[in-house]
Amino acid sequence: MPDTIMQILIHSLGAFGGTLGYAILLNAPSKTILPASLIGLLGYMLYECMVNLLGQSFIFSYFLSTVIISLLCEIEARVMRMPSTIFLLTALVPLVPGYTFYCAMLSLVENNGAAAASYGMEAVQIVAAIAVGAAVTSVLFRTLAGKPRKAKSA
Amino acid sequence: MQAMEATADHGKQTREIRLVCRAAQLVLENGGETYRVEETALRIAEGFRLQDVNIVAFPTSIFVSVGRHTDIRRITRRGTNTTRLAIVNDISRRIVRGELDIDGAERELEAAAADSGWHQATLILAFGAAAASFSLLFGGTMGVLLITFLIGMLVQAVQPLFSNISMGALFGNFTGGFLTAVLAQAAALLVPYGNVNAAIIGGIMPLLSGLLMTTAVRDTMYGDLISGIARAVDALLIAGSVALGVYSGLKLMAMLAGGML
Repeated sequence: MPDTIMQILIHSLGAFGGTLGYAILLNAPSKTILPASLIGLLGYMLYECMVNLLGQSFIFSYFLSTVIISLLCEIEARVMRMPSTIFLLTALVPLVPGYTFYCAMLSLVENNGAAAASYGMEAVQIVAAIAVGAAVTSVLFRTLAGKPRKAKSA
Repeated sequence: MQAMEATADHGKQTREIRLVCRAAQLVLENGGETYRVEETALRIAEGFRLQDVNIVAFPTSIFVSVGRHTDIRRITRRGTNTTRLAIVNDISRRIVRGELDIDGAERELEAAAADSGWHQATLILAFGAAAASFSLLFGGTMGVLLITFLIGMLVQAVQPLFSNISMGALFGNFTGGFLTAVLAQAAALLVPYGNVNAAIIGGIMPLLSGLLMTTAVRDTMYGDLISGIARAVDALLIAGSVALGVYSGLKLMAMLAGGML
């Protein structure tokens, strides 16, 4: 058990550093970098705790972590008066399955169709969980907390 | 007299449409979702009291029409620069509140477009730090951390070579994957530092933007079906070029190691 907790802490630290570096690579406004990285750290820690300590399925863990991350990002965006995309793009980085997509592609290159299909499937599941979590939260947040924008014909 | 007024009015409207288009272009080129591109453009058009506005945005093009006037932009570069997103958002809101006229808006938009942001040295450090941190997520130890940091810095250092050539994103990602695989293995031959896989995966993580894929799915959910599909293809191409780079690097090292034995 202490080993698991130690591992979660190390991974969360990695998520924090990764988000921080990535935020600079995305050229984020400097005052948003630290808040976004902290949200990334919290979200990833929540994900790891759900999978490793609470034994939840990884799809549900991805979904719930994304919901929490998006919620924090929307709030932070209101506080700082900036588009929520800025926070979302950085804070979600540790969760998004770039690695799984890479594994799928590597299996394709290695002519291992079964592994490619399995990795690809997993990546699609994760992406769907994250995207649904982010989209649903942001739409609900806008509807409930945002000032109602008058619907204009586009 | 009336004709002159009409011409002046026409010129003003042309400038306003151009500004709407330019703002939409900046949002699209720098990583904004499609709905945000259209929302920003509509907001600015509203600020200028333009009537009968239609906006269509795809990852490769933007169409803005106001009445009988149309402006079209071809989008060739797609990156992420969230500072520009913040600035364009701010400009659009100030136009709506009437705090910014068209001259000021044009000036500020061009200033935002010209500002390339962090210096390359900072980006090199950031890439190294991100790569090293990500290696922790895949079972990296202190040795792996150090090696990944160095490899990450090198990968970012070569990226400007690819920024101005066609298919630059693909070549840049291929080279990034290739360098990471070769250097991680070569370093392991010189000093056994630990988990080589963690170093390779950490090194390529900043290149593999799974974010593109998430944006693709979100675009699709918001009803921007074509944008969603286009972005998904973009994401797969990037993941594919990184994977091909890593694979080539691994193969090359296996051949070299085989030759030595």
